[in-house]
Amino acid sequence: MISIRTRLIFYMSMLVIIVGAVSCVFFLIYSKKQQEESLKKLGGSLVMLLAQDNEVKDALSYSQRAFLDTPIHVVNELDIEKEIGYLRVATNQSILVEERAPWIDIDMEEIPICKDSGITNVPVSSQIWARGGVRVVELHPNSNISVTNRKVDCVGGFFYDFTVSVIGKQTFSEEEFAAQILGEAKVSDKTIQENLGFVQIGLSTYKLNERVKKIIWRIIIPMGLIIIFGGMGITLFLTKYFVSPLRHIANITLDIAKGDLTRTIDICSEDEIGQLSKNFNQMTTELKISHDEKEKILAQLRQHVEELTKTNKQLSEAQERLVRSEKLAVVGKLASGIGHELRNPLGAIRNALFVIKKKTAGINTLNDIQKLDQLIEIVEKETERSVKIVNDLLGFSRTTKPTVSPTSVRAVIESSFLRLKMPERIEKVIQLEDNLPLVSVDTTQIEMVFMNLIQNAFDAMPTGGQVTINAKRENGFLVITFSDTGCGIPDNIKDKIFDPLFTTKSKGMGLGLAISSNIIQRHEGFIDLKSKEGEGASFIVKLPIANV
Amino acid sequence: MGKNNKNQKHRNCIVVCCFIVTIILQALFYIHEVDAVENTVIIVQSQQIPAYNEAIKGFEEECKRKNISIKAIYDLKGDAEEGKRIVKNIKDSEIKPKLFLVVGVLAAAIVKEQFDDIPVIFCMVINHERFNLQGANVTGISTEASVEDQFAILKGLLGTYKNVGVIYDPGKTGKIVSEAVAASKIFEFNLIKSEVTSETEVALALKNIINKIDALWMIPDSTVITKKSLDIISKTALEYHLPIFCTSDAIIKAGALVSVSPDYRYIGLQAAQIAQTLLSNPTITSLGIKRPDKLKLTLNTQTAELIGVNLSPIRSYPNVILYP
Repeated sequence: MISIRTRLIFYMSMLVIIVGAVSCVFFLIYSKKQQEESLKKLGGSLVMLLAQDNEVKDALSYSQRAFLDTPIHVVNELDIEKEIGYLRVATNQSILVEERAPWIDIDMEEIPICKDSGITNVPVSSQIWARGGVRVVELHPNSNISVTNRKVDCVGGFFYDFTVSVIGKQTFSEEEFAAQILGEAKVSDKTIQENLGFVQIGLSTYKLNERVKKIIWRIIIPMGLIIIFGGMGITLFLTKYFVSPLRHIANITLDIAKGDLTRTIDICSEDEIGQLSKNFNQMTTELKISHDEKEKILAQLRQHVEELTKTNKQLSEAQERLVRSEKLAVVGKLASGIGHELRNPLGAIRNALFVIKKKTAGINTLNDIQKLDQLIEIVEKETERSVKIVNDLLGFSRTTKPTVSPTSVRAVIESSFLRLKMPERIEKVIQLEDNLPLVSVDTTQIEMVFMNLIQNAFDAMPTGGQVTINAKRENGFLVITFSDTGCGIPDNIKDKIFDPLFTTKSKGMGLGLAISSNIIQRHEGFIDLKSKEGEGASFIVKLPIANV
Repeated sequence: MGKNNKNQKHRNCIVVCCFIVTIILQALFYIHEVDAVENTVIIVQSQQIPAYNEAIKGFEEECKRKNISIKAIYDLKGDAEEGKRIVKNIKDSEIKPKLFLVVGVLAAAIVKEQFDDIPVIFCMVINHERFNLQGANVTGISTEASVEDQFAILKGLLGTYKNVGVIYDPGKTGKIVSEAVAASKIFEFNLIKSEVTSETEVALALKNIINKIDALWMIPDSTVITKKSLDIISKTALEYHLPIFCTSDAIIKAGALVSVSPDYRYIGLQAAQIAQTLLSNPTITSLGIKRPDKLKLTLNTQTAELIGVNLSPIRSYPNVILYP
């Protein structure tokens, strides 16, 4: 895209160049004409000087060439620039003098002679030159004698030819005679005149052309360049002066379009651009006000949306907790009933087994004894197992309100490991920050949670691996992470992992994580799972830091 | 109340006075216009020379006495082109004069050429017969005394049976010489003529007749009387103690003995009288060519002494002027 400034500079420059060229041509024509006029004046003056010289008149009257030397010398002296190419003085019958400048190669035969050069006050347009040439007659301003002026083109160059008749006085006019007869010596200007011959001078145009060339090189070309470059400079200045404010406005408009509504145009002129700037600033101000209002409304909307999202999330969580609590409550009631009902028979079975064991101590039949012992052993083992299940169920249903006290997590973790049997191929890594704060927890319950999580980690790595426990402070909580390098938990069961009675193990009730989650909630903490199938699992427990 | 009436009367008086003054001025203007149309004369002179001015002065004086109004005096300055322009302007102007007084041959020729319906009086034209100045509206006063008057004085000075030589250009003054030949017989003179056609022949012509003549009569011939020839004639005449008789005071100053010429002021006066006649009789447009009423005789006493001529026979004539 061509900018206004470029176009303006281009057009103005073209205009300036045209004006400069036209001025130069005009000045050249004018100068040449002036030079020609001055040459004509010089020629007219010189030829008239000769024609009016008394010695020339005497020379022509008496056909005496000798009288011409002095006047011709005077004329040559007056020709300072040496522009006289040739000179001819002749009577009506014969030529007295024919001279040419030594520096001009011209044959005087080429210069035409007027047959009737002596006629005065007569239209001479019909007069014929003896040897060609075009004749133009001009009346000399200081005389009633006509001066012929023509251009002669010959081998030696171009010449301005000036021919004038030489007039001599013949007699007194009647009025002068009257003045003499009637006693007055005054001589009237009115005389009857006689043509004695003519004087012809040719001025060469060579010097004129030289002068014109000088004018071209010294005046016209510098003048043209000054006009063109000056004009272009002025154009640049004016263009910059007029277009810069527009460009400034355009830049500011661009900034505003990008959103910077604080930009204003600081043009204080009173012209159209100033008016445009004022209007533009006013428009920008109003736009900014509208934009601010819009932003304010958007911010409010955004805040409302955030609040709604948060509320919705809280609602979902609350709903989830409620469902879980209801589930727990139902499972708790069921477990409590089942446990309570099964506890007594199982106790009686255990007691009975103890008595049977005491009574059969005296039996010596080895096979029977061995066989009975094996059976009793099985019954006892299964009974113990059932008791444990019942205890777990009762433990789940009877989860009590925790009795919290400031406790060191490090101690709880170490205690948990001590109470568990460490598998051989599993390595434990405990990474705890120094100076960990105490947490406000029920040590027994939290230890059960930790043991459950560590046992689950052991179970997830039957072929060995690494259990990593780390703890760190975070926003008023102590965050403890239990990570394993096991097979991980599939995404489709993540949501159900904390549900009671959900398990992936062949031997388990699916109550461990449910009980752990319940204990943590009672401590006003959080428990969460991060796991990816095949890359292990991490249980994150957040416990409130104790206010010590 | 009385004061208001007085002011009102004053205002009325002023209005009436203004009205009367306006009517008087208009009447005067009208009278002036009528007078200008009826009696105006325009004077045109060829150039400024004392003889012309003297004639004009005489005309003006007489016009005053005769209540003839001179509207303007134009000087053609001896320039034919300028003169034509001036006369053309007069012709183109709305108010035409009733009569022209033209002084000098140039003025006479141009005015006569331009006006053929207004009376023209010319004077101070030397050898007027040469210039075809006759016309139905042209009246003239000759500048030369008649040949008879001249010969009468010459006879008084020289006596009878004298040889009088004259050099002349037949093309210019042949008619005068013809008249003189007839008159010479009456006055018992022997007129010896010598013809020339150019100034250069004058000296030779004089030489040819100088030993045959008792006096040289110089008539106003422009071929003969030039600055150069006048000098030659004067010197030769003095050398040969030859009295020169002429019609010009100027030639007296150059060495001639006697001249008979008109009184230029009186020519003007005479022209005014003719103008009065023409203006009072509109039916008359020309009175022909008149001789000057008053002549003067100029004698060069110095030349008389040099050539030994006794001037006493004519010194008692009226209007004699002695030079120097």
